[in-house]
Amino acid sequence: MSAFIQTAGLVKQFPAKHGEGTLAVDRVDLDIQAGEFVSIVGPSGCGKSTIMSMIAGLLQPTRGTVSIGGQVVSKPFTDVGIVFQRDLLLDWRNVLGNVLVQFEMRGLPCAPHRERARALIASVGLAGFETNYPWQLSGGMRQRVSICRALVHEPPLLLMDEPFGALDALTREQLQVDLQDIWQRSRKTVVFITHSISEAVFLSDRVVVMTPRPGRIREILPIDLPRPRNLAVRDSSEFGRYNRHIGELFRDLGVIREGGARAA
Amino acid sequence: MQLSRHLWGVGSFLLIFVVWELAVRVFKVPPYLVPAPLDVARELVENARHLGYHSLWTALTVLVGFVAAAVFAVPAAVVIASSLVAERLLYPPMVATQSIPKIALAPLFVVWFGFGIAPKVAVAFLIAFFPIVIDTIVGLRSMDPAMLQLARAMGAPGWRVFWKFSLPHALPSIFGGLKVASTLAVVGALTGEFIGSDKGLGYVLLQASGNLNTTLLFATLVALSVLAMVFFYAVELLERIAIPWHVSQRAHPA
Repeated sequence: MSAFIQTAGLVKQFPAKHGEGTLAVDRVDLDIQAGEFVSIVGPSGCGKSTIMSMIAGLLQPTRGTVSIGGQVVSKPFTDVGIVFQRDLLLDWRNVLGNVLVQFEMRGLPCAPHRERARALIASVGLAGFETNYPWQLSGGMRQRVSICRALVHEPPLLLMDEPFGALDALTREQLQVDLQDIWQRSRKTVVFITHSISEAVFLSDRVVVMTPRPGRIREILPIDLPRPRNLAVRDSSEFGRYNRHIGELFRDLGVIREGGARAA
Repeated sequence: MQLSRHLWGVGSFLLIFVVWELAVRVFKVPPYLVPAPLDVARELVENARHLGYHSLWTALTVLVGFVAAAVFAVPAAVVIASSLVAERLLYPPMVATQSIPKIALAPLFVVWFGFGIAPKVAVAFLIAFFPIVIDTIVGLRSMDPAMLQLARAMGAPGWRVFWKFSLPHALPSIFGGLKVASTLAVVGALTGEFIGSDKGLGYVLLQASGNLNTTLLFATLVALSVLAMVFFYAVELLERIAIPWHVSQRAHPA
């Protein structure tokens, strides 16, 4: 069985004004099965967002290819929902309007999808807020709206670029649990970018650990924890083992340093 | 809170007028230097028709100049903001024209367009044009790049991205430019009228000064500032209707 998403020898080099450019992503081979939840975890600047942009066809790789469903991605892939760290809601539209903009931008009529949008908004706990404007909502609520916007057209693929990075710890945990619910109900393929090890372990079927720049795959770690996972799973010894393992990888890579200041 | 703030405004003006009136009466300041506020008020009432007629004329000049500036400046900014070639082609000559004082161009417009309303409109247009272009460009450029990525992932064609994302996003900036332009257009119209005119408040102002009729001159100044304020608040009202969602509008208690 061939994978839903395949990246083959993916390289991205950004040009520099002087000298040679920066190598952001180096020879990334990654197969993602349909319905799989895969996290890419790594330090800032390891090219994880760049990989996501290339999967979405928003950025062309310098070398290598991305294919989705057997088709090579050469222009923006539109059968997708994307959630960024910033919710990117439109201030001039209410919650319902912000979700339905997905159809408007595609040139589709909104009316047939209105009920679906309402149901989706209700399913993330925002029933009654349909006519509120983004500035009347908290950060967590805003990000829920942007998740609804990414899901409302029922894409097979959800790309999330540090979606919970700007939220406080409690809201973040709640949204992780909610996201797992959504994923279990819809069984979409999710590519989830994060720099939180425990978030990646909690949510994922597999965690892709990246090296610092240039971003290479250090290890792909299958997370064999039963679903649905509740927050208590974090206290289990298996969860701790996965966490520790990834933490050690980062220590070996020099991402996390201990023992105080070192001579440069 | 709101009411008491207005009362303060009215009170401070009243105080200024009372002190002014008293000072003129006590020190016997000749009216050709500084007229008393009450005399200015009487002049306003007595010359209401005269000032009204010329105010309307100036208002028409401002309105046509301002609307024309808005109609041309916003699309020009859109073109400049969306294409590098257009920016390199249009921007330098635009800045160069801008560096010429508009007053210096007014005599040229008289040569080109005669003594009618056209040269006055031209000056008002030219002076109002630039701030609208600049602020519109700023508004269009200040959109989060991730927003454009999102739009592209939705498969939206460029014109739809512009219409649904970029333009609404730029509206607060555009209105900022329009508000500055609305007051500048009044300056432009007046400048045009100074150069050569037999109508408009600029003409009345020059006549009053020539006759040493300082009281009429002050009355004209009052009419002029009323006109400028009406324009400014008209644009602000439009803004409030167009972008009630923006942070600047939310600060106003509903």
